[in-house]
Amino acid sequence: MKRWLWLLPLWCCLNVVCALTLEITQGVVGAAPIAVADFYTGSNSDVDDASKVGEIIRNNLRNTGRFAPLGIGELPNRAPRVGSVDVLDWLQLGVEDIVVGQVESIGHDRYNVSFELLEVYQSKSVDKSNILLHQTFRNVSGERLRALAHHISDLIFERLTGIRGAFSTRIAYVVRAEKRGHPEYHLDIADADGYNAKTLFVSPEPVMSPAWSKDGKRLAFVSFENFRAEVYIVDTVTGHRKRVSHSKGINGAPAWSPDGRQLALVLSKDGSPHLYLLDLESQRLQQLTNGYTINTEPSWAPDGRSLLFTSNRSGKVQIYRLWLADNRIERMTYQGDYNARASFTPDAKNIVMIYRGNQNVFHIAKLNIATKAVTVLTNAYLDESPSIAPNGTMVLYGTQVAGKRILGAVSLDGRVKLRLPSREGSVQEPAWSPYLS
Amino acid sequence: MKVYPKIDKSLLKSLCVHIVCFMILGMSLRFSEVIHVPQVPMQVMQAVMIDNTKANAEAARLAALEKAKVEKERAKQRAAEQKAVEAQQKALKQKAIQEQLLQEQKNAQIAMQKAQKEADAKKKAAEKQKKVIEAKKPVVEPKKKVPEEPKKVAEKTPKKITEQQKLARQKALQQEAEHALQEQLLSDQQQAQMLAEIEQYHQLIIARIQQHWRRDLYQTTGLSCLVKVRVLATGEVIEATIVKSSGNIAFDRSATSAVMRATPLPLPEDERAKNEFVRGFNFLFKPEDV
Repeated sequence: MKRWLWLLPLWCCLNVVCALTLEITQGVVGAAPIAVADFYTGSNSDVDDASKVGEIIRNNLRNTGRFAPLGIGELPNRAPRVGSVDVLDWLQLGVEDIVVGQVESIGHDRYNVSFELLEVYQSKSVDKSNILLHQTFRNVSGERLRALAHHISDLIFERLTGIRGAFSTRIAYVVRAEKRGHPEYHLDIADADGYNAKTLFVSPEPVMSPAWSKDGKRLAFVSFENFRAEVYIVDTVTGHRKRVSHSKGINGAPAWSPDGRQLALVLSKDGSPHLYLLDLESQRLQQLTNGYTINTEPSWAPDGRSLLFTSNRSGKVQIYRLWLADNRIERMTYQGDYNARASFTPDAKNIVMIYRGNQNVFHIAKLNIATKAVTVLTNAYLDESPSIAPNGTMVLYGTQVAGKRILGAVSLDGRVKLRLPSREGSVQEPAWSPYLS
Repeated sequence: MKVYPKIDKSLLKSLCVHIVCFMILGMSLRFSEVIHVPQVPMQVMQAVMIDNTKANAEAARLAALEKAKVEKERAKQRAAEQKAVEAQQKALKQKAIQEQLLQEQKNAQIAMQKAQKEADAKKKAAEKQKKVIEAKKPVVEPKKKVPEEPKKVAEKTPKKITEQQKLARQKALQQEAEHALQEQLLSDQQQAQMLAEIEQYHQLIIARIQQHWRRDLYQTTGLSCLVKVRVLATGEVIEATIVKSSGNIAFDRSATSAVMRATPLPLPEDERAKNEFVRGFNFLFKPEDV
């Protein structure tokens, strides 16, 4: 008997570890159902945005594809006050989480805003609260309410997914409109949801390739106002504009270095288009590529130590990576005979690019750098200018629907696609800003 | 001078023997470790098997006991007849029969617990010896009176006692065995039934959780998390906590939410089977992608 006694503690341990475990391998794939109520405003909702906070959050969450907010009519209470919600009343809705909030006017177009994120299905422990988030913002101006709604969306998204939200970011894009029979080009910026559009620059000649500085305060872009491609920088707050490159030939495809001090761009002053680095302070130029082939569309790695670019040096248009330390060039794409406009995802594990499929159709595709596997994310006709959200969840791109150019977004795994609210004219060449703190 | 190498040699020998012993001990220890560790988690699986063989053994034992009883009865009759016909001459034969009976009894008892049997045998032997000694004592004293009688008494007394003892013990053992067997059979049946029921409810619970598990649209391949669950006897889930995280908040939440949403979980009616669940269990969320 004694001989087996030593097994006893072992058995006890195993008993704990090997407690009955049931394996769940199948589930219903879908977006998380969530209830976002309108924010309670009382009777004095004189400002439009005050009543829209809930709606903005609802749309933001829906546009990520990860959440399926219920329609406001389905809720047992359209706009309950913070702290008044009994989760049991909302149980039949089948939602996993509830967002409620209130906007309280304190006069002079100032508001106190508070919200709560509640978990519906939750362990019934006494000490546990089902409030995942509760926050109050005091003395908010009316014009800041929309920005606050985005900020609250960020908080909710991060709390529920563990991923930083990108709702408070902005997008830049080019609009081609008609004015008295003549084309007119706008360089616009807007909130990530397409609202609050603001025009930074208007020209009768084409505008191209907007690129955000890493602090999100400036945009580099290409303007043909002098009937050739030149590179400008515009301040997004003041609208102040400055020409930074006007060499002979093409000046194009600007890309800010992560430290904000250099601009990678393409110049054809010596014949073929080549990559250059422009030091913004000293105006010093450094040539990165040589030869008789075309090299264009530079894009920085997140660590700033290498650049992706497009080249036809192999005879076909492919993506290459240039290491700045030793100017070593590495070919990145082998699948297909046309890959272009590449950019790194924030984790630098994938490349998002334009990939030409079989029937001369251009798709947005993702290349896994480690496995070299290419995943086609979109299947529309003539997709262009993929630009990745700073949190790496979505890719914004230009596409064509019924002859009109609009903006679309696709999740990085291709499962969620959506179109951004279209406006007058053709919208193209979107660029997603970095996080704006 | 020559003593030292001699001592050395014997020392060396003993050292070698010790080393070998330790090695054997060490090896056997390790073997038993290796063998016994994986056996423990398989207990549930083996339980049915072991119980079945136990039941078979019990049945065999019962049959053997029955046979032994009948045979013993016959033997007793035979012994009585023999006693009546040739009381004195058959003393040796009787002894042989007695031994045979003992042997039969032993055979019947083999299926019983060895330790008990051995103890019994020892006790019996001791008693027998005691009886013999006790019987021998009067042999010495009454020798003067009747030289022939004591032999009979000496032979009769132990035989009577052993026979009585044997009978009582046999009866008790038999009753005990029958009782144990009945209980065993009943509990085996219950056990098997319970296990089958538990297994059935595993599937029911899994199905219910899978119905309620809303997986994220985004890539969840390679993710897995372990959720500890506490349920009431009604099946109501009172707690679902992450024991081992997948590292992905959304995935972990979808798992705990699925468990909480699936409340109440289907639980077996049988109290014992139900307790298997009520005392707590785990879910491993591990999506298999198509």
